[in-house]
Amino acid sequence: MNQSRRCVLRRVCAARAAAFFFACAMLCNSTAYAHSLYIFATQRGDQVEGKVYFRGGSGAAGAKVEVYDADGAKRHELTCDEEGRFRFQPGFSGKMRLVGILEDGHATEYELETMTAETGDAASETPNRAAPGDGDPPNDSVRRDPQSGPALTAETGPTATGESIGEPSPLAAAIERLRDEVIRLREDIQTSRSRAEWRDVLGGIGYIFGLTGIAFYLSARRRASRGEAKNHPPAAERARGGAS
Amino acid sequence: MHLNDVVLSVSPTGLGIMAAGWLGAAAGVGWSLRRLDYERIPLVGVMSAVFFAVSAVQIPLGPVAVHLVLNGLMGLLLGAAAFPAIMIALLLQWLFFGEGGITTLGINTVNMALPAVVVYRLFGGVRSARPAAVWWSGFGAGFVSIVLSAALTGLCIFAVGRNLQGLSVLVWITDGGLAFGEGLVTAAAVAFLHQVRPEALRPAAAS
Repeated sequence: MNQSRRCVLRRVCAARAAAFFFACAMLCNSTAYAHSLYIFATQRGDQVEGKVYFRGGSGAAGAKVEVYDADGAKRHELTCDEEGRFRFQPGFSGKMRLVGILEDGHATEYELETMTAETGDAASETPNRAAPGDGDPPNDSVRRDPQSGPALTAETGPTATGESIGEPSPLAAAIERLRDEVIRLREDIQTSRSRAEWRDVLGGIGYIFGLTGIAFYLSARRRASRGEAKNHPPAAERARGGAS
Repeated sequence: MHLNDVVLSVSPTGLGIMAAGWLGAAAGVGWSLRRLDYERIPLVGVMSAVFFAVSAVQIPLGPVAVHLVLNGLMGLLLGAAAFPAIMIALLLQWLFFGEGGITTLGINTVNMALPAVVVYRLFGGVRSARPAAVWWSGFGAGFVSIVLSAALTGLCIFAVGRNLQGLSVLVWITDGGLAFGEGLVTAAAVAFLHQVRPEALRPAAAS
């Protein structure tokens, strides 16, 4: 009878505690996302774009991204779209640190070294200057031939006309495609690296069992040094349980 | 619920929470190891391994994926010994999966192990033999432990003053879903254990 009353009291107590902590948690906007978060970013032209994603590759919609410069000052704060992607104009060059955060406290960071705006321009404009004509097929074939004179002059200096600035040359387009490909590859590598590896799980379990063995060993030594005082541990346990 | 290094390392309050977490974790681990019974060591190891391994099983829940935490079950089975079990599993989760962080290991341990101990005080040592009562105490343990852990984690984030409110509704749906799922799994595990090995549900270490 006494036991059943205590039982009821416990239940009531538990319900109150649950309600209290639900309220607490609601106030704090907390969460229990129990998974890890990753971020990847790359420079494209004068913009930086990237993705915040969970282990396995699905995007973290609505995650916050904070951008810090080399001095540790916060320069930008962004919110990701539904696919976890973000894009911004840094407005500064050099090292930057991107921190992706979910409101539950999961966070991840990525270091990125951006080129200066001039270097980026030069890189993207060189192929344009190298293009000799405004898309003339004969000229194009000449340019691809390394032995031909006009191509050499075109490469050594900006002798060619600048009409091709407005329209990207095939070479520039190819480089652009290649860059897309590299970005996708790097994303893939990051994703596969962050995927849970079953080998790791097995390894971790092995470590835990090993530590358990060590604990057992230490505990056994302690018992031995106490001179087998507790020869019947179940009885001792019962006595302790009853005393409490 | 795994606080990352970068979340707390930005402010003095965060560093204070970190230090407090380490103190709390050290106290919990030290106290429980001192009282740990010889023949319960294997169970602590097994539960630590379960806690570690279950985090690799991602369960899609709407737009995000969650994994079970099972700290409620650990509390019921281990009592205060949940502290060392959870700390070791968290350390390995950081090493292998990059979840959580090394500076935040202390506070993360407290955030998950303290609810386990509280749950043990509330629901532990299942005394009623009625199957329904056993089931509900398991459910309560799983549910309350998750809500408590989430609340503690939320308090930490709130204390460092990070303004992260983009996801609230989503967060509440997944949070509640996870707590409910944990309740069901813990209830099933406890009901099963109560039938086949009732003495496992009376950890002397936390009494």
